[in-house]
Amino acid sequence: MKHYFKVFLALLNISAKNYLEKRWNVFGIITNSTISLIIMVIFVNVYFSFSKEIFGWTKYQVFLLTGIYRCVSSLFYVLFFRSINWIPNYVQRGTLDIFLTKPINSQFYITFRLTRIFELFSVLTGLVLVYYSLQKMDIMVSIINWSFLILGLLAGLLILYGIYFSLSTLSIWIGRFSGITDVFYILREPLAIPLDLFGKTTSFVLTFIIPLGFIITVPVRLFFGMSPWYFLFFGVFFASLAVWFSSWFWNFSLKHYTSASS
Amino acid sequence: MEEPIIKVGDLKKYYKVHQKEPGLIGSVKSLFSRKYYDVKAVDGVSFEIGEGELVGFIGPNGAGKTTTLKVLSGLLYPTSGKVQVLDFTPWERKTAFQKQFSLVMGQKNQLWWDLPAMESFILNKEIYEVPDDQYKKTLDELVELLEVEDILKIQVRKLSLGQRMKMELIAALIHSPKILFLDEPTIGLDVVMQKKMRDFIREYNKRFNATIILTSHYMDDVKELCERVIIIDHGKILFDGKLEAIIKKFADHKLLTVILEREVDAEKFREIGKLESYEFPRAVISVKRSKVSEAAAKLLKDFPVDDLNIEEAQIEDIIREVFTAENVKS
Repeated sequence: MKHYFKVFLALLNISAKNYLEKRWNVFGIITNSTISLIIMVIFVNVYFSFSKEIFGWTKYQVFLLTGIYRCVSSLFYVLFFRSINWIPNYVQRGTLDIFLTKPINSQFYITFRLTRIFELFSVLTGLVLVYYSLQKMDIMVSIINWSFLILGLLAGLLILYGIYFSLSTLSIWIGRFSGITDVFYILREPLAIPLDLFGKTTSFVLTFIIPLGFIITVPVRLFFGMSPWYFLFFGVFFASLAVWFSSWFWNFSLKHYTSASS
Repeated sequence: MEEPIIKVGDLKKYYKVHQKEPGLIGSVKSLFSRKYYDVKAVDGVSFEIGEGELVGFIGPNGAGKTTTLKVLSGLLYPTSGKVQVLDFTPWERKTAFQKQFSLVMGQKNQLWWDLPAMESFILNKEIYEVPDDQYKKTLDELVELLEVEDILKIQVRKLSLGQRMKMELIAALIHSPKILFLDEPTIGLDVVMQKKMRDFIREYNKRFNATIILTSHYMDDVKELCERVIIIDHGKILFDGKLEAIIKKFADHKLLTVILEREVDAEKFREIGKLESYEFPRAVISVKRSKVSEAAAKLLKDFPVDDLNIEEAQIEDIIREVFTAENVKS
């Protein structure tokens, strides 16, 4: 365990240095996340200028969900996104060969190889939105509901990880997977609004068949007491399933790995 | 030979590859039904390698050299066969095994492109759990051997190919592996750098008693470094033994070079042996081993010879012939 923690820190360190080599990256993140925050707030305001409540959600509840969406998706960027995105590249260029000879779990190494610590700034903008909406709603939330939210979101982050890692692993089978980033956007976009807004059937499918609903909507519903408490366990179940599957699929695929010829 | 540390028995690695007819229609067809056939990358290879040996794998492109190395380092699961490296089965990828070898591929890199190579070494130190004092000692030694002191702090992308290859080697050797697999380590390097690389490999093998397997297209690499050579073609071993033995096994002739005082009809040489080249005043005749002295005597007696030289055939030529013969056969 200690070994893995040390390697994790070393990877954080080297990724940060690598990132700072291009200093415009950092300014890019700050402008980018500020502008997208403003656009989001405008959109939500436009929706709610027509009605006070949409499918049982009030304006500030949606604000809170949007804020949380920003936190989760930025955290995903900080920890996983770039690394997973690079898997098809590793496969195509044969760099994976070298990673596989390292005396460390290959999934762990690849998962944390390219972190983006500076994306934490975007998490901050999300937190601002969460704070603002809580102020506006003027409600007291119990510790239990807070812990439901946080545990639910952690499970959600792992669900997203498992799904995205498994999709990227497909590149071992198909050789190239240049559209992997687009697939991520397709997965991510519906998370930004409450899934209930898609109507009953779609939201059911997106919750229990493809468990995207457990990433953000369900934790936020738990927070407001809109879903029964045992939904948290569904979330944990789906998270374990997603991570287990990603690991099984990774190892299974490696058995069939043919390695790019050199 | 002492107890071998690499044992390979009847190793086979087949790839399934699908056939595609040319053209767009062929591509569309292949979406629905595909004909597969096996490519036999490695087809029943067996050998053993002892500690401290420096062995060269040679063979044309696609002969199965790299595939064999990839199986030995645990990247590929073989189709069948037994492989043991340091008493481990490579593709189980045990940590204890992975800490004891290194794979360097001339065309693939592990260094972080935008950072000085030093950063990659530090990362590898953590991954391989190298203690601080050992890390420092190994690094100093390698830096001195490869003479790279002054470029340690320069971004990798600003280094020349040769400099980068040296850094790749340091990154691969920082955990002092017992076994080193070198796949085309000198590819793309200029002659001077190739020589330096060879000197380093030889020195490393001697100093640390490391077992090294090297694949290369350049005969010079193998000729200068390896006592033992394994020749692979079409996934099969054609030869395994001392380099000089290649000559005995495959070259049943020697080359007689004559410098003539005056021109002679080319036809006359054919009585003696096979005329390889003739450009007055120099003629090269290849003669069966057993008939060399007889031929030389005849040349001196019947021809206006100014100078006569008897040589072994060039290893490059012999190997080329072996491969060409194989290709004709298949």
